[in-house]
Amino acid sequence: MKENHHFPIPKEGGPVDFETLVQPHLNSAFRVAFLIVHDYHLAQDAVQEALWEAYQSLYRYDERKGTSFRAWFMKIVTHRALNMVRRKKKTEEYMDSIDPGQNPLESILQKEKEQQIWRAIQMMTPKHRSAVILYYYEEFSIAEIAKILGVFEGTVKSRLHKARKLIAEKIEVKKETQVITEMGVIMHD
Amino acid sequence: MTNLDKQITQTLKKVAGELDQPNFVMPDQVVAYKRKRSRLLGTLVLPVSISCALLLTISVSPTFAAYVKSLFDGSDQELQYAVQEGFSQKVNASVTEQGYTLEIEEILADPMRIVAVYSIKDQQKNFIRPEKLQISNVEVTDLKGNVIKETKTYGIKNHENYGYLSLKKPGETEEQKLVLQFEGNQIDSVKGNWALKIPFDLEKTSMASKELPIDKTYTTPQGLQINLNSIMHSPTAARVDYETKWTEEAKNRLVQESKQVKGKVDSADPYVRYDDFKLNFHVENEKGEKVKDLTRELDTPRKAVGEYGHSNRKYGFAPLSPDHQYMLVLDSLVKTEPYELDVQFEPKQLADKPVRVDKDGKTIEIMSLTFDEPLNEASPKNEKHATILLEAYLKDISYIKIADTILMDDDTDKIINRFGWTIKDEKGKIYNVTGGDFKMIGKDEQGRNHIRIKLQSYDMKELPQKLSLTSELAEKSYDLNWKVPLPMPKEEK
Repeated sequence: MKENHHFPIPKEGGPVDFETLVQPHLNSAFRVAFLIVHDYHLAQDAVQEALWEAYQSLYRYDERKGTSFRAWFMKIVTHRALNMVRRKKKTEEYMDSIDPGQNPLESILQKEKEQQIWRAIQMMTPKHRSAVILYYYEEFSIAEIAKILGVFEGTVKSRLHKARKLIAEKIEVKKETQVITEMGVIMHD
Repeated sequence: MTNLDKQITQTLKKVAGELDQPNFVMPDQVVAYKRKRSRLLGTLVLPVSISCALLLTISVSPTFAAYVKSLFDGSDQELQYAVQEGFSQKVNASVTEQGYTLEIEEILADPMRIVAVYSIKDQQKNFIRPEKLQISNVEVTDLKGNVIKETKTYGIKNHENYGYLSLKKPGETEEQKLVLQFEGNQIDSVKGNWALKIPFDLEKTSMASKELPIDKTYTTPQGLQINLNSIMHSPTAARVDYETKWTEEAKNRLVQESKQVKGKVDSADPYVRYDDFKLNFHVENEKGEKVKDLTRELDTPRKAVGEYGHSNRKYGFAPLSPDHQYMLVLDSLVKTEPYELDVQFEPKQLADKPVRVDKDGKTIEIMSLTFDEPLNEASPKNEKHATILLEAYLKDISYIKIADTILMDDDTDKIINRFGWTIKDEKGKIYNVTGGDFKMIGKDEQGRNHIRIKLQSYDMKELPQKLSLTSELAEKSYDLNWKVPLPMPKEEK
């Protein structure tokens, strides 16, 4: 009789040194999950689920396919985090639910421009946000991101292009408002 | 990179840098802990040195002793034996910056792997937990500074005061004298640069290692031809090298199977699952005592030799004692195949009795559908969810994925892969499976595997009128029993 295993199921004869393999990537995995989900506990759940999944399907990881373990594991983490966003709420509702003014992390972003960038990233759809995080934070190549997200390289490029545009617009809008405010125009509207 | 690009990177790093790392449950530790009790006699084979040329009396390293004790099931005892046999190299190299000292105390390196033990101390010589070190670079180079690419995979294990850095496959380089470069750029919240370069050599352990031919071939009833090429003995491990390829008949069958799962797998079309199998081996001595599996520790991914899944693979295990005779036993072939399971039922019927479906030699019994069952460790907390409990009697099936749904597709919400179960109601609404259990109970009187499956869905909040459960892929485990004696190195007199 086999033993009872909790979800998901580790394979018989499965790895006993999984931790050694995955530990170097846990730190950034959690951060990527957080940047996508924006919720500490959901990010924690996403990474925990990813750990189970990676453990369960580790034998499928094939180095010769040209994917590093880091990219392979990050693919699982990214999808788990995106699923977590979905599970929580539909994208639009989720975007609406974010109240940038209530975000404690903003206090560590000293420069106003950084706050604007972070707000813009928060307001993006998860698919754009995940491309931004994998590219700018994890510094994966376009080709690697395409593999991780399961899309064409052109799609990654267009998502990054759109994301940059959104961020730039957000900064511009803020800048314009500031200028107007400084000129006192709004005051006398 | 434009200024905006730099600012985006900087912003993300700043936000992420503020986060405290939560603790995670390591799946392998959960499994190791659970298995511990049922395997009390599992690994009683004591490995001794395969070469008696080095008769040094060296006391057991406390560092590695702590390491061995740290593990749930006493695994990696083989490292301890290698240390006892004098294969460990004392290092004691350290670097101090910003009041913190990073020290590498010991390296154990043989052709199979390199393990380095390090610690961090503050100004008062108090140990700082090793996970506080943010590692920025790990490399093994030759003496000229050329990076040995084979050792690129590294892992970290922490236990109390020590961190254990392990690197894989140093034996794939011909260099004997190597340098480990180990760098960190942050300890706790203090940024800095702690860099160590530690020379070490593989000469002694390489001399104590030996590769012996096996040359035995077997073809499984499923058409997988296995050729055992050789066995490599080293101070910290042994490893069998083998090749696999499918017979022509099996290749055709795999092509047919791939057509059945077309559109359901995450790969380019056409995709044939030539590589999607696993062989389960074990090594036992003449008393039937099992030797510990080390495949994962040694990181032995397969390499393609030719097309159609023709590959070179390795099976790693603990070093063998010259006092015993050993057999390599091939236990089973596990293969993912199309396997349709489909059951419809009205949830309200379950109030009276379970719903049972017998079809094509498969039996599925839906036991219950309940809400707000206790959560498992991988689930979001405090959310209402449905739990469906079912029992299945299925021949050869060793595992069916509970849930593996990739939701993202290019700019649409389309589901592109669904390897696990699909739960659908009478209106066609699909409830994502978000957790569950899989338990192998045993065998029924017909020799079928009796399986208990729990499917959880956080999408389901109300009881639907009708439900269908379907699954289209499963892992089949085919029992095999091929035994091959393993050649041992002769002891030096």
